[in-house]
Amino acid sequence: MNYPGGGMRILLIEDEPETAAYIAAGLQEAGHEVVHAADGRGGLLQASSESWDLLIVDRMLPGLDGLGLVRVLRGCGIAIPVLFLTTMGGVGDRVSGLRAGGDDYLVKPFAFSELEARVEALGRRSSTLTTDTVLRAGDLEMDLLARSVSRGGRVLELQRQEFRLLEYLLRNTGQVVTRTMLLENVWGYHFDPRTNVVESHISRLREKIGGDLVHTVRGAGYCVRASDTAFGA
Amino acid sequence: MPWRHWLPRLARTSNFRLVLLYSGLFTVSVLVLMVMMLWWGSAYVIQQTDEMVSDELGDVQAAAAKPGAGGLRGVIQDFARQASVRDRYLLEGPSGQVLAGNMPHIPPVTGTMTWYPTSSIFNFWPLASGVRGAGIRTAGGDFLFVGRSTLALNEMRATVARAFLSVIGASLLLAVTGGLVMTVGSLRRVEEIGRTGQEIVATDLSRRVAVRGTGDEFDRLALSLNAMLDRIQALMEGLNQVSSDIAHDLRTPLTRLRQRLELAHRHEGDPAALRQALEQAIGNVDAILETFAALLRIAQIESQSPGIAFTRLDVSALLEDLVEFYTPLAEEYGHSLAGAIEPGLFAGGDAELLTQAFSNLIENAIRHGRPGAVTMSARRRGDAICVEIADPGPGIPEAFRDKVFQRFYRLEQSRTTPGTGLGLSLVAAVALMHGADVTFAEHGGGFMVRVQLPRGG
Repeated sequence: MNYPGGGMRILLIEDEPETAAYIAAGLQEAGHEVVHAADGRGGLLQASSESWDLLIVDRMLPGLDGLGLVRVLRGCGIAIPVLFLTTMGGVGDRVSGLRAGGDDYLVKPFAFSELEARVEALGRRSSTLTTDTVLRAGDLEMDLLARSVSRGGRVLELQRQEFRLLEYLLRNTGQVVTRTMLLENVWGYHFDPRTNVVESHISRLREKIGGDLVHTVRGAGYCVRASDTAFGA
Repeated sequence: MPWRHWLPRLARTSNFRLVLLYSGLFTVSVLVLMVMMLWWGSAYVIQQTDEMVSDELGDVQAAAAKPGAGGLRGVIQDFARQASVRDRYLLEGPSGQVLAGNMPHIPPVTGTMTWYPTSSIFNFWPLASGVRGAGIRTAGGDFLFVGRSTLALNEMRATVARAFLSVIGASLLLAVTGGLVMTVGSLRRVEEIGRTGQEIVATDLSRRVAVRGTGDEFDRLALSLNAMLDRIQALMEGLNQVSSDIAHDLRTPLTRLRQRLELAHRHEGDPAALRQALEQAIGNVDAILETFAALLRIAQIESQSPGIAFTRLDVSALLEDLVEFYTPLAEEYGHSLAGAIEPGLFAGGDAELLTQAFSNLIENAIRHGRPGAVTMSARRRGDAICVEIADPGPGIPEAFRDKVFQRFYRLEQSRTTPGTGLGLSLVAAVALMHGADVTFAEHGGGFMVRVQLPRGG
């Protein structure tokens, strides 16, 4: 696997040509190689016969539906990360998708930045499975065992939620994480609050750790970037 | 009503078929009873006859033994002369010639037997008349036979059979007539209900099945049908309302979107203005999509059968997490958010939907309240968990409290502040699914929403 050196090799299994073209163009622009399959059977064949970094699978496909496709793949021991796309946003739908072996689940319609952030996160998950007990960004240090955070040697007092939020951001250093990703992964919430509640958590965190680490990416989400830090710490 | 028209339909009703079935069963059982009575009755009468004949045989022999009686021949002549119509006596010589008696020649068989004057298969017919008696060989080689006509037995049999058959006939007539009358009555009611149903299908959903007020099963059927029709009508009206609400509510953002796009079109030469217009347009579309997503979600919740995805939930933990989650936002709005949540409150429910419903209520309190203390409390109250969200804001005026659960209903009619007008509709849908009650109340100069969730799990 050549990521994060260059782009990922992504197989997009989506029957609707317009959506497929939109996703493929966007991901190619972001530097990934995208191959498109228009139905379930063809997609399964390609997914199992070539090497991929990520599969993007629509739930509803002609021939073989996305759920069945991923089940077959997982049954054959193929562990490529899978991102489900769907128009079905019910609770049960998401659970059944994840149970079938999907790694993430995105409900249509979505903003492209949301898809891009999730693709990057899944790609990273497959290449750098962090088992470190200390996360770093610049002079900020998070000790996961001692549950302590310090910056430049000074210990910071973080609350439970703030700690979890910072931990998730640090695990994805250099990556854009969206509001929904934070809601899902930090709080386990699968709904869209009608307020900027996530923003207020971020500003609170910034007040404690300093405003120069967590950056807002306009129209997309947040990103931890420290000028003197290498990727992945 | 013409019978030609009614009879075939009557015969097809389950009611009438039941009547026929029961009549048939009744007839068969009465017939069985009759056969048994005839059997046992005949056996009794035959046994009696046999005993009498045996006595008579003894009497004859005793009389013949008396001196001066003229022997067996004289005694038989004597007995035969004095005999009643039923008694039979016969004395045959060894070669079969009739010596005395009131019977023709019969085959000389000793022992008990029944003799029929004509030998035919009809002898098995219970009413065939013959002579039941016993014969013996005398010391002199003559054949002596004493018997009785089976006429009485046959009369008994005929009487019993007549009685039973007339009972069967009468009861069949009664059952069929009664069945017909009853069936006509119920058929009429059923046809009436059916006709109303067809009229409702064809024209008017507001029509109802007539209730006679007798409280019988048809009235009860009519009442539940009417209740069902009420519900269908309400749902249909709700659907119409929602459709027109959707159309009306989407017009505003779509109009705005159109204006933005037109503006962008006009500013084609100015990249910065174009970019801004496009961004705003995307924002408008997102708002519309959000509305659709919320509508879809409510529809999904409403169509879900309650209890299917329910698990045992730690409601206290769920609410504590929400309070913690919303504290920074509340402070940004100048409130303080505090929880007074009793630990260990459990209920059966859908965690995700309950979280969303309570978060909608908290967000309402934070966004619409005046700066001050927002509190969320939860405590056990009988069989329910009573969750209260109080804010110091103006709340919802009394007159509008019934309406706020409707889709798209918003207190500010200008619809300038962001929001879909669906937040409380979702709360209502989730509450309904959980069997929970949502009520509003004034609260120390502020406002309070109370959710009573059935405890359990």
